[in-house]
Amino acid sequence: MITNQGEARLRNLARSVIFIYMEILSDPEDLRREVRQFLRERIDAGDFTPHCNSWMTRFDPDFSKALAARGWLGLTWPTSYGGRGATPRHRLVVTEELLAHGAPIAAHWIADRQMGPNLLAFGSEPLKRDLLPKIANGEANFCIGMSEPDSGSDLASIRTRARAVDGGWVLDGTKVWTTGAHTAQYMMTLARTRPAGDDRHAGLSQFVVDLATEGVSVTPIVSMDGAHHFNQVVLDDVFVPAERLAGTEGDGWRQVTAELALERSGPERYLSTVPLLRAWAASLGADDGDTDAHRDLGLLLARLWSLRAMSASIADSLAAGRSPEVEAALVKDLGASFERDVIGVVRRHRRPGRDQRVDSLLTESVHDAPTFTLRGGTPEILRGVVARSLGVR
Amino acid sequence: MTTTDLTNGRANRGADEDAAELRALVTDVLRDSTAATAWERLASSGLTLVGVPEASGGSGGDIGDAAAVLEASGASGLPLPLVETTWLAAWLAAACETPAPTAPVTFAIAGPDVGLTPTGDGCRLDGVLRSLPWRHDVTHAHVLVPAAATVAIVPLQGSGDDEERAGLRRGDLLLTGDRPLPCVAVPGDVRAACAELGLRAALARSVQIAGAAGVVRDLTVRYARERVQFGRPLSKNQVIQHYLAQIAADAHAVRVASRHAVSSYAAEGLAASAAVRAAKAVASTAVDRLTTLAHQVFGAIGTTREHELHRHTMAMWDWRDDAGSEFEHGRVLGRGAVESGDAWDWLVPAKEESR
Repeated sequence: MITNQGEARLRNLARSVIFIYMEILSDPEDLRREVRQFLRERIDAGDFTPHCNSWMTRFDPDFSKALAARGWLGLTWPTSYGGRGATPRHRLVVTEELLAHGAPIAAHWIADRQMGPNLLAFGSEPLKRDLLPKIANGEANFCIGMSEPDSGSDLASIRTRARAVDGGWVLDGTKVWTTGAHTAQYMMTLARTRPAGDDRHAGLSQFVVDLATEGVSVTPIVSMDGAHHFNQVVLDDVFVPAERLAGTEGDGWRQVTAELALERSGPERYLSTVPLLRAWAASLGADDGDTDAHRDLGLLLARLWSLRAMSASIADSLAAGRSPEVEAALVKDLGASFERDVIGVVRRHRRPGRDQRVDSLLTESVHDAPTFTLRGGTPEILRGVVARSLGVR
Repeated sequence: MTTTDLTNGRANRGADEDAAELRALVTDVLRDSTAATAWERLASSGLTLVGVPEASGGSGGDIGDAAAVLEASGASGLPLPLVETTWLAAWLAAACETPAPTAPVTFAIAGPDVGLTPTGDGCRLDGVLRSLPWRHDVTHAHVLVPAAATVAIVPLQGSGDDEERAGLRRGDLLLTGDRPLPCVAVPGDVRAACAELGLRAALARSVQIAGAAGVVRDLTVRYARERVQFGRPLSKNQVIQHYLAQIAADAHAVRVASRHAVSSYAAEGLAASAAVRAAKAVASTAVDRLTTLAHQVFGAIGTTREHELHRHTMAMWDWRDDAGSEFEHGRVLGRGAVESGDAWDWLVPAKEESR
């Protein structure tokens, strides 16, 4: 008990030292100005055109490397692993600006958002030393190997197996909806290391699978609009060295749950259609006398403001060492509704043909919208998470 | 729950703990109170004048403390004219360097159809104040007449209307100018004072909605677990679980928004008007789904005078339209964003270079 308290005190002290250090290092809002200016210059130079949903659909490894060169990947990780030791608030500022400007960030997004933090929390020291600096440099991009053909929302039912062999593990199974597997170097793969017993959440483990390994095949799953970001990844007797077990054998469910809090709580859960919102708002004249459009814009901005406040609150919870799973589920549910409602409002008020940017952003948003309420947990699943926290499930 | 401040980039944990303690204290003081005893109990603990400077006879404390009291009182479902007395009349009294009201009062900003005539030692008012909150519950109305930069203290004839009504218990007040009223001059820019009063009222209603939303969530969850139909509690139905989750989401959003707006207002005053408008718009919007779902779960019993639910939901329906509905605030926010040229920059202004 005494030891625990002592440890907790040390942790708190360490956190406040980091906090003070970051305060001296930079105000998050100074960082915002810097990121915003960088993005404006890139847009003006024609390096990219803003797109909705760009964190999922716009892969540009060179752009990711350019961000890494500025130290904007792995921002919150300790400097000893190639990070910057910044606070979750700093990361929130950077990611908000990237998303609101529709920048092409899909290549590094998953590695930076959840694989790095996963490895930091659960990974072995050699694995952290090996992979974290590469992620922070934009050289190691990840995809998520969770869903399978017969396991969507019911994640614990996955069938991919890992059996222990000399010097490591051999994996067999099929992953689907694997965003970016065709550009990533690694897949964080959830697999069964022991058969499901009474506790179906037990016996799961995570592995860092190098996608260049023999036995891995990646095939596209083309979206309805012709875009390619989803894939199927087949693992056929794929050898994974022992040191690429991520975290603890059998502890995969806990690790994945912690990861999902990060996957659900970020600003990409409410900013996906903000490039459309901005373009439409910019097309409105102040003297239009179109007060209904102003009203609907204002109502959306009020909701966006409150989602940002909730997201900031989650960033603070993360900084305090908590895993705000329920808050994350609430924000994702509200955020997905907001992203869809942006589409509805723009459709109600836009004048087709008046602004080509608005029209094309609207089209891509409409086509991507069904995924807003699927990825990272459906509203049905999220409400279940919340209901459990209310004690009714 | 940690209130957050995007501008400062950190949470104010000390103030959070103080606020939590104050909320607990108010909840404790109001436990088992009735409409008749609630004000007295709060007042005897000095809680009705939290956030009012000691120099004007208040209990001291900042806007965050005042919001903590208001949020907890908003959850009590009791008719308490705290917004009118503490947030508006006492604030204006302090600005006029006069003592804060010692008893509960109501407050109004008179429209152009109310006439003020100075007399030797006061003034006379003519006209009508429509839908004045607490018309029959308090002894005085503090009426700000902007055109004359004057606050008049109007005695109210109680009508003996002690009917148990939820919400703001409004009524019209006829001003006949038949006798001189005590009056106080408002120093400085009266338009700025009006703007700030409007902002404080919107903020206060958001805070009250947040308090009520939390208690409606708790009541609804409890009822769903207790009420048995078809041999099992309502809460075992997945559709009911999802209703409860949506109520919880709305209650959470409103609470975070209102506390965030309180921090912004504490730091920036009138400059925080967009944050306050956004919080009020979010709070007013949330009332619809939250109260609809809560009443749906409660069934017919929730629609009765006998049941507690109406004291919260009827109040919320009043508060959402008072001090600007979501539509009014939405229009102002949207126009501001359009005029600025870029909606994102407007919502998230980049700070000036700090070094």
